[in-house]
Amino acid sequence: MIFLPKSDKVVFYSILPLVIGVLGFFITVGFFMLHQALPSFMRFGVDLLVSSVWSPAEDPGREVYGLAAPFLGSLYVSALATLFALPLSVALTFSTTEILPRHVAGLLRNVVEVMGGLPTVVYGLWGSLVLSPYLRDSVMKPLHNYLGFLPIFSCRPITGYSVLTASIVLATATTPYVTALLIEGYGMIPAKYKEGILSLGATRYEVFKLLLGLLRPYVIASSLLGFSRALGETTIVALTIGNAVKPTLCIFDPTHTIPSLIASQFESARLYTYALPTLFAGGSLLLAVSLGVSYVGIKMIYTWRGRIHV
Amino acid sequence: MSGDGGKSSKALTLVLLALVAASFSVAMYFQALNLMRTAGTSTTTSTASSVLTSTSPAATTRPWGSVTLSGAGASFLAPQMFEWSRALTETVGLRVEYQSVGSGAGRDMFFNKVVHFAGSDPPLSRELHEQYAGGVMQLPVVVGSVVIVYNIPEVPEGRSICLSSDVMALIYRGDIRYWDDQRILDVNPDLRGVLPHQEIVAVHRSDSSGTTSVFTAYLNKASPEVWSKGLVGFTVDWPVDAVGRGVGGKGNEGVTQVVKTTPYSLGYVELSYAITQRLPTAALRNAEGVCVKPTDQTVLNAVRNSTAFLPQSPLDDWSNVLPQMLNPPGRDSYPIVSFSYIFIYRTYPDRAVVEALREFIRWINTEGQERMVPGYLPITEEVRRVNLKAIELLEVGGT
Repeated sequence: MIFLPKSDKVVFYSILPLVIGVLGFFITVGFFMLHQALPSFMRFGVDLLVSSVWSPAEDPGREVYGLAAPFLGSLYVSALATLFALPLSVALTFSTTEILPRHVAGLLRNVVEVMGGLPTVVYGLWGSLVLSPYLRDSVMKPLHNYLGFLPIFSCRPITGYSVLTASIVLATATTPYVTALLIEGYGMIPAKYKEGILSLGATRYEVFKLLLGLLRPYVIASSLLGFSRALGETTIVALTIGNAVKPTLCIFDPTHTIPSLIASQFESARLYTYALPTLFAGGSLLLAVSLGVSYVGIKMIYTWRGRIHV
Repeated sequence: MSGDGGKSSKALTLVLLALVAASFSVAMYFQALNLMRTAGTSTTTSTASSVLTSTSPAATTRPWGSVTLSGAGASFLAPQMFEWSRALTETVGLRVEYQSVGSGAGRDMFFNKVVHFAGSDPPLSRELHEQYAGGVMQLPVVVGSVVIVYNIPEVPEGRSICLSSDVMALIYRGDIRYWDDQRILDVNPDLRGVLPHQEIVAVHRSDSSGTTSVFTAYLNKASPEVWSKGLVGFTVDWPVDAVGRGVGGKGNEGVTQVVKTTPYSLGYVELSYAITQRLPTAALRNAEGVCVKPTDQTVLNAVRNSTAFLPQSPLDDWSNVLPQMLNPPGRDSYPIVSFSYIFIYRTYPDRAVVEALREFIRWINTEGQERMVPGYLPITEEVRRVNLKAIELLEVGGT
C-alpha cells in the first residue's frame, strides 16, 4: 500500500480509522466477555464445564454453577437443527437450480429469502404455541411408546417443549441461510463441468448428483456455518426448549442452551455475586466455539473455490 | 495488493492492523471500566449525569419544572407503573419513565445512580439495608399474590381443589406422584373418586423471578420440615425435575401456557395471569386450616392481618416483612401475598428532582391507589400512612 497512487492513498488513510474501529470493536467485545467471566472461571474452575447446577444464593459462599448442561445442549440442539436443515436446503437448491422453470424458481428463492429475514420471535411463538403440542401428541408419544428402548427416545414427553421441538424450529429458521449459501456455491461451479456432463446425455438429476459431489466440501462448510449460526440463536430456543438445567441425551427432554440460559437468568443475575460472571463465561465459551467453527467453514469455502476455478 | 511477492507484506500489514486495533480496544475498554466506576453502568453512562441533574432553566409554575423521573426494575411492577405514569402525566403533568429490566438490573442502575428510583419485588436484604442505612427508603406500592393454577379435566367447573403447603411442597419435591394420593384426598375429602390416578406434572418458572422467590419462601415458612431454606430463591434447583415430572415455563405466560396444554399439571403464577387466562385456581389451606380461594377480599384480609407489626418508616429494615406476610393468621386470609417495592434515596442534589419525587410519592399513595390495573391490589391505609412519611424525609443535599 506504500506504492499506491496519491488519490488512493488519501482514500485509504481516511477509511483506515473505520476499518480499525470495526476490528477494535470486535476485539473489545471478546475482551469484555472474558474479563467479565474471569471471577467465575477463577472460582469454579473446571467444575464450570463438567457439572450442571444452577443454584444461586444470597450468600456467595453457597452459590454453585456448572455450565455442562447448557453447553452440551447448545451443541446438541444446533447439530440436530443442522442435520434437519441440510436435506431441506439441498432439496431447495436442486429444485430452484435444476427443476423448476426460471420464474417459479425465482419466486421460490424470494420466498426462502424472506423466510430468512423474518424475526425469529415469529418462529419461536409458532413453535411454542402450535408445533410443540402437535409434536408431543403425534410424534413424540408414538416414538416413545414404540421405540422407547432407544436412549434418545427413552424419556417421557411431558409438555412438548424439548430438544426435538427446538431443533425443528431452529432448522426451519436456519434453512434459508444454508440454502442461500448452497445456491451461491452451486452457481460458482464453472459452466464447463455442467456442459460436459449434459453432452454425455445426463438427466437433470444426474447433473445435480455429480455437481453435488463436486460441491461436497462446500456443503460441509455451509453446514458448519449454519451450525455456528444456530449456536447463537436465542429467542427460538428460549421459547421452545423448556429451559431446564439438566444434561440429557433424550430428545423429548427439556434442557437449556447457553443463549436460552442467559435469556432466562439475566434479569436477576445481578442479585447474586457469581451468577453474572457465569453467564459471561457461558457467552465466552459459545464465542470461542462459534469462532472456531466459522473459521473452519470459511477456510473450507476459500480452499474449495481456489480448487474449482483452475 | 502487489502480485506474488506481496504475500509477506500483506501478512505484516494485517498483523500491524490487528495490533493497532487491539491496543485501541484495550484502551477503550479500560476507559469504559473507569467511566463505569465513576459515573454509572457501562450502558447508560452518557445519560447518567444528564438524567440526575436535568432541569430546564425555563421552569413552569410546577415546583418540579420539567424533570422526567426515571425508574427501572421489576417486570412485575411494569404494567402498573405504565398505567400510573400515563395518569400522572395527564392529571398533574409529571413525567415518569419506567424500564422493565428485572429487579436485579433495576437495583444495579439505582445504586449506580443511573435512574432516580428502582422497582423491586424483594426489599433490601438485612446486609444491604445496613450498608445503606439512613440513605435509601423502601416503599411498598402494590400488593401481589401468587395463585396455584391447575388442569385436571375430571374436576368439574364450579368445584375447586384445595391444597395445603405440605402437599404443594411434597409435589414440588417429587414425593407425591398421583392426584389421588391419600395426602391430597385428606385435604379434599369431597373429591374422593373424582381425582384421577394420574401422574402430577409440576410446572415452575424457568427464568429467575420474584414470583418463584415468594412461592418458595412461602413453602419454606409454612412447611419448613419439607421445604428447606436452600430451596428458596429467584431460581431454584427443583427436585421434581430430577424425577422427570417437573417442567419450566418461561415467564408467567409460559407457566400458564404449559398448564393449559398439559393435562394433570399444576403451576404457580401471579394472580393477574390466572384472571386473564381463565384457568381454575386452587384454594389454599391457610394458617387456621381453612381452605381459601384467592380473591381481592381474601388477599386484602391477609395484608391487614399481617401488617400489624410493619416497620413504621420507609427508612426501616423491611427485610422481615415478606416472611411475616406469608401464611398470616385470620380465617379469611389467603396465604401467599407480598408487596412490591420502590426504592428511592433520601437525598438528591437537585431540588426539582426532590419536588418531583414528593409529588410522585404523594400521588401513587393517594389517587394512584384507585387506579389499579386488574390483578394488582392497592396497599392498605396503614401502609400508605408509612409511605407518605417519605415526603418529609426527602431532602436536597449530598451528591
